[in-house]
Amino acid sequence: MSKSIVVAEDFNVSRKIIVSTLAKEGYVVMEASDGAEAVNLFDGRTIDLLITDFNMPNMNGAELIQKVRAIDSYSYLPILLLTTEVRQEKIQQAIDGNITAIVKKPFDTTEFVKIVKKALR
Amino acid sequence: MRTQMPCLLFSLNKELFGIDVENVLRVINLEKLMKVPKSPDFIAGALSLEGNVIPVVDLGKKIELGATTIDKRTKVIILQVHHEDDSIDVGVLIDEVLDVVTINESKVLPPVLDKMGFNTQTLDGMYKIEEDFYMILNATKVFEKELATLV
Amino acid sequence: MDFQQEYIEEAKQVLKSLEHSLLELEKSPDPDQVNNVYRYLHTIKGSAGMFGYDHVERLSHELEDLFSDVRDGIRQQDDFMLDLTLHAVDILRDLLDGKDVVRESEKIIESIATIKGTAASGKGGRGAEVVNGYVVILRPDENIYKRGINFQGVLDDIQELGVCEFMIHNETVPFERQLSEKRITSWFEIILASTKSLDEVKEVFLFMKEAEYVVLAITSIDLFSSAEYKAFIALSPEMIDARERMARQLIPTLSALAEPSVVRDDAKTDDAVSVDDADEEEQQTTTIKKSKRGGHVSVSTQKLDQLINIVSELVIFRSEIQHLMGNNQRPEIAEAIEKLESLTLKLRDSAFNIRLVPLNILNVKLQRLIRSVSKDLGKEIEFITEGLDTELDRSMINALEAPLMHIIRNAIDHGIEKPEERERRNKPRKGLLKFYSYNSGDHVFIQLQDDGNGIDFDKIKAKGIEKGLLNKGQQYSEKELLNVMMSPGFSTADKVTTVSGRGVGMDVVKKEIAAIRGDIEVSTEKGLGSIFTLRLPLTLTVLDTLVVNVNESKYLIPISEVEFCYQETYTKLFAKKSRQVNYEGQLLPFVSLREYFGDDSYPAEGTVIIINKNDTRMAVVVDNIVGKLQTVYKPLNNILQDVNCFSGASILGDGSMALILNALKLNQ
Repeated sequence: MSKSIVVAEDFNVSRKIIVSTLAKEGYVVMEASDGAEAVNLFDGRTIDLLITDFNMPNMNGAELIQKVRAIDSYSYLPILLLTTEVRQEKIQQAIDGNITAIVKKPFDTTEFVKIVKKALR
Repeated sequence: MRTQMPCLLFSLNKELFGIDVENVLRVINLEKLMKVPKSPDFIAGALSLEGNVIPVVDLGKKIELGATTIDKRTKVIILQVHHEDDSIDVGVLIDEVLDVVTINESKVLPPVLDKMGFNTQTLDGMYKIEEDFYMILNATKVFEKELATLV
Repeated sequence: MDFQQEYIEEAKQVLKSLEHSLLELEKSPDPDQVNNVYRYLHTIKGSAGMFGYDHVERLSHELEDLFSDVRDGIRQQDDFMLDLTLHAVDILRDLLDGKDVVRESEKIIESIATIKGTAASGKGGRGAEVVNGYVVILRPDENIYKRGINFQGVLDDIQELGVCEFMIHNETVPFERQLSEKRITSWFEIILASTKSLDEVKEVFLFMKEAEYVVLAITSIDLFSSAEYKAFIALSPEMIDARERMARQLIPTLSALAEPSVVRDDAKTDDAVSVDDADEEEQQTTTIKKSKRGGHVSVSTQKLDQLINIVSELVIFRSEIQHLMGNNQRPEIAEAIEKLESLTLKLRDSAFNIRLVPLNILNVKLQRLIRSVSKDLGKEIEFITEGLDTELDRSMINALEAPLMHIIRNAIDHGIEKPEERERRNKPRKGLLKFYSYNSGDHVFIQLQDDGNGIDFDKIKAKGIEKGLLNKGQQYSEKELLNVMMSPGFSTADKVTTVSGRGVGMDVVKKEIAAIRGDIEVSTEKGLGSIFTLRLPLTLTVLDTLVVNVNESKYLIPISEVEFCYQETYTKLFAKKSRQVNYEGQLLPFVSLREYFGDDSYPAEGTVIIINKNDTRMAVVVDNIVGKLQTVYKPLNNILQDVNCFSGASILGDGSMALILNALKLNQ
């Protein structure tokens, strides 16, 4: 059975690259353009991985992660957080211990697929 | 060699262009452009980005397409152009970002060499998406002269 | 990956010490230095394996072997050996930088084999089916599952790598229950035999934090009794035995690796470190616990740059607050801002101070250069240094390296005569090359003096005429001739030597020095020698400037270049056709920036600024002076490098930018 991945990213350009990369790998990908839209997808259905941007309108990545983690069935869900290098330390502090890994943007797609595969094991 | 190339599509002076996403650091709105007197004609000015001074190039002029009209919607693509071990950051003025697509490099057609109204030496080629032709710019070729002077 | 970065930085420091010892050895054989060389190589080898630098490990291992023979009196040191090792130091450095010099490294290993008189054995060949031994120590965070990491999956992946032996420590709660409850309180020690490389093994731990795992390559069975291992797990002799047995069983090549020479290494050398190097040694081997000593901490340049950037932004931000407050500020706020200002400035000064490095770090490089160049050219050189403790901005020292080396090359190649020639001239056989550095005000001066033949002005003139840079029959001052010498495409070498040929001339040196806002001056006496003087700003980044206004745009002029300002009407300025002002009874050329930038409207009155830079005077006319500002210097990107009337730019308090004027270039 192919794994389901939620991608939350407000910048269309990045989201499109991610979605097309993952779709090519055979994953079922659900897209959301902000945190609020993404959180609605976590309605109890099976989701194997959340990939989210940090900076998003309406609900940012940190809030989204908090909300998702609070739902019982997703408390051990792998989460990859996308961010630009500049604010990494700040982010690390805010959500450390809650996520699987931070992925620096921009990233190399082959490298990215490798990370996704590892996160899904 | 890659066969798939993620490409940022944009418009400039009514023409359609694409550029390899690998060169794109980010796209920003044009604000606070500093004039640089005595600079080459194709330099529109410079802007500050995260504490660095980035020159902004009038891409239209640079590739001999004609000067870009600056208005409220004008955007700047910040490019990172590589040259051997070095790289330089430079902004280019564009009208609008259209999309990001993955293009198949084997389907890039060679540029029509003459009668295109601008310097086609700066292109990797043409790419057809639906009914439109996009000119795929090669950042290194655009700044060939400037890169050559890097020590 | 921070560990790795730290390793690279520190390995490079060790390489520097190694280089130094090798140069000392070359002067005279010295058992202490041999010992040092051996120890440095050992240190590099030891940690290279831990961080996956297989080629570094191999090369340093071979060299270490060689020097252990020298140490034990089995082999005599010779020039070839030292040359080869010095070359290997460069290659090791390149390997650490990730450069692809593997082939070169293999060549050196072959040469070492030749020295040893043994043909390269098959042992070193990295066939695909070589089984490597690793120890993995896993200390997962109790709540690792809450990060979305499937710890069971990590363990499964390890098992897939090859054959392994798991040891579970601190199993107060049965491990099965820890897994089902998704709360891991144990930690793990795993001996693994795998055909995979260290990097491939490490990939399994992609999402684990640096403090949560360590992978060690078992290069010798002594690993388990080494100090390095002790830092992770304290083991009793029985426990060590058990592990050695397990490892021998899993990794058949281990018994073969355990040559007698390796046995004495680890335990002994780690303790027998001389006092001054203890810090270095400790940082090398300590990965989990931090160094307890005060002393020095190596910081990566990247981190430093980041700090400087933040501090610079803070300086700008402070001005921005002041700017936003305008005139209507309450006294308390004004006071608070003042405090903020003084703190910000202090912070900035300390941050910049961190960046200052003594010139000493160039010493070894220069010595090596002098050594190899003088050898190539058959010249004898005595190199004397003074003031190497003078500090300069780190980036500046990096930028200085190439021009300094070029000047030294030139001095040895063109300046200093051959020993026989010198004897004929009643000079000592050895040519003197003196490197002298000192601080003066905001500047650092570096002088390179040689007692060679001096610059031959007739030769320069002839060459200048030949190149079409000078007119025949015209008289030129020495200063003019020196200027010609530093102009593009000028080279006085009779034939292009490999030493100073290559088409690079003094013009490049001048350009490189100018790029770090420095100047170069030459004085010379025929038959007696030359002095090159470099004048450099203390730091690249802070600059006191005068903010001036020209047609609604702001520009900056470094205050150090401003001698005097006064107002003058344009009618008077433009009264004559020649653009000159009378200042202190002297006629100075002036440039009206409005005119220069192509404006053709002028206000009634302008401000004349008398510029004095290195005793060259000129005047610049602007609309008016806005004020003084301490700014952070930002270089202009290459695309703007042709615009040489500006040397850089700065960001002003309101977030806008202004260009820094390079006044002397306005005339050209």
